[in-house]
Amino acid sequence: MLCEICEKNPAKIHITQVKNNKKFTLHICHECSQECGIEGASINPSFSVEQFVSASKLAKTREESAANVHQTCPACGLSYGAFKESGRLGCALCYDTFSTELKPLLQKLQKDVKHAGKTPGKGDARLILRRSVSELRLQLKEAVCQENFEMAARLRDQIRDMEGQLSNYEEQ
Amino acid sequence: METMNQLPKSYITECGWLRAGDPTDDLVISSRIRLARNIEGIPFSQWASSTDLKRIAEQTRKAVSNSDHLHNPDFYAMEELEPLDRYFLAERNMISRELAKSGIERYVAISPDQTSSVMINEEDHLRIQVLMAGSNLSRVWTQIDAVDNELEDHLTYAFSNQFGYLTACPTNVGTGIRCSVMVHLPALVISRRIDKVFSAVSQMGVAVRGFAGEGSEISGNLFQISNQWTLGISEKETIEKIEKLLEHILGQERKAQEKLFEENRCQIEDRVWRAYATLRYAKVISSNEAIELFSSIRLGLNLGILNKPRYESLNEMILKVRPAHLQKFAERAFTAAERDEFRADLIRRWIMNGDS
Repeated sequence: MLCEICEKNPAKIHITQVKNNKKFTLHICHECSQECGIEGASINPSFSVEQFVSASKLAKTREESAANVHQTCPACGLSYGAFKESGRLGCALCYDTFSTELKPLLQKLQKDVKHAGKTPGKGDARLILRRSVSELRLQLKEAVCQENFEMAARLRDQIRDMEGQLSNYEEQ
Repeated sequence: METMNQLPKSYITECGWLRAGDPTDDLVISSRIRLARNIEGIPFSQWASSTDLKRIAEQTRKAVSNSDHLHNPDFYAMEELEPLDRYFLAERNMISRELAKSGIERYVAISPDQTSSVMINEEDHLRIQVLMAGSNLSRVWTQIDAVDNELEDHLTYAFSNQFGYLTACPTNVGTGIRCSVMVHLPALVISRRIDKVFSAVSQMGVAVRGFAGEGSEISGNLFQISNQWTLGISEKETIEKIEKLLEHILGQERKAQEKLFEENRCQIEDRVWRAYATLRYAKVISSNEAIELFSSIRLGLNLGILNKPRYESLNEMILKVRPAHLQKFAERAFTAAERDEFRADLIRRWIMNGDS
C-alpha cells in the first residue's frame, strides 16, 4: 500500500482514530510522518490516536510542528529566509508553503490577496480536477500535521474520488 | 525548431513594432503588455536545475512554434547570439536586459512582424510580450490574450484559485500582467508640473519610470507609465485604468503645451530651432544629447513650429542612435568617440536626405 499523503513511498505507519464511535484510519510513509512531526515508528493499529500521541514522545507542540513544516518549501527546498533575501520564490508550491507569511506582504504590494483575472483551462474539467487534487493534497498534509485525522481521512476520500474521475477521463 | 545564430539584416533597418499600431501618434510612442507565466511542477527559473531549464525550454519552444498568432516565430538561443546582437534586441525592447546578459537554455521567440515575442527562462519560465506603436493597449491585449490561450493548450501553467498565475516575484502574481505606455511629456517637465501629476498617479497602483524601463534614468522627457498591481484586479480593469490615467496625463500635457507656447513663444521656438540646427550641423553627438534634441524636435512638431520629420521617422531615430543599433548599422565595433561621430553623421544625413 502506498502512502496516502505523497502516494510515492510504501505506507509503513498506520494511524487509527476512533471518535464519536467512528473509526478513521490513515496509512502514511516514514518520510511524511517525520515531516508532520509524527516520529514514533509504526504503531499498533488498535491504539487510539490519543494513546499514540502521548506514547510517541511527541515533544513538539502542534504549533511548533506546523511552523517547522512551513520553514522550507517541501517541493523546492527554499527557506523563507532565502526568499526574503532574493525577493524571488522557488516554485509554485512556495505560495502554499509560505501563504501565512506572504499574505501580509501581498496586502501591502497588491490591491487585494484574491485573484480577479482570467483563469486557465476554462472548460477543461481535467485541468480543474488536477489543480483541486494538488490543493487537497496540501490540505491533507496540513490536517495530518495538526493531528486532525478525521479531516485527513475525509480529504483522502475526496482525493480518491477525484482521482477516480481523472482516470475515467484518461480512459475516454 | 532550429535556432538562428544571427539576426536577419532586415532587423537593422526595420523596426516592425514601430510600424504596427499607430505610428503617427503625437505624444504616445508605444504600448506594450507582457504576461508572466510558469509551467506547473517545475521550480522557477532562478532555482531550476539545468535539466529543469532544458525541460522548460523544450516544452515552451514546442508550444510557441505551434502558435498561429505568432506566425512561425524565429528562435534565438542567448548562448548562440553575439553580445552585440543581444544588446540590440534589448535596445529594441524585444528582450529584457537580464535575458541579454544570460546564457544557457535562455531563448527568445520573435514573430516575423516583430510585434510579439516570448522570452523563455527569464525570471519566469515564459514572458510573453506584445508591443505596438502609439496608444493601443486594447489591441495589444487582444493579441497577447490570444497567444496566451494558444500556449495554454500545450502547457499547464502554475495557477492557484487564490493567487492566480504563480510567478517568481510576488509583485507579478495574479494576472502576471504589466502594461506599459511610453509617452513624451516635455511641457509638463519644462513647466515643472510633472512631479505633481505623477505623485497623484502613484497612489493608484501605477508607476512611472524612465524610457528604458526599470531602474533607468529619465531622458528625452520620455516616461513609461505602467501598472503595479497584478493581484485583486482583472486584466481588463488594469488596462482601463492605465488608459484612463493616460488620457488624463495627455490632457494635462496638451494644456501645458498651449500655455507654454502662449506665454513663452519666442523661447520655445528658440529651443526647437536650436535643436534642429545642432542635429543638422553637429559633428559629434552623444546618445543622450540626441535623445534630448529629438525631444525638442517632437515638441516643435506638436506645436506646429516644424512640419517634418514625420513622427514615425523620429521614433525610429530614437532607436537607431542607440549604441548597439549604431554598431549593427555600421557593421563594425566603435570606440565611444567614433560612435558619437558616426551618430552625428547618421543624423545629419537623415535630416538632409528627406527621410525626415
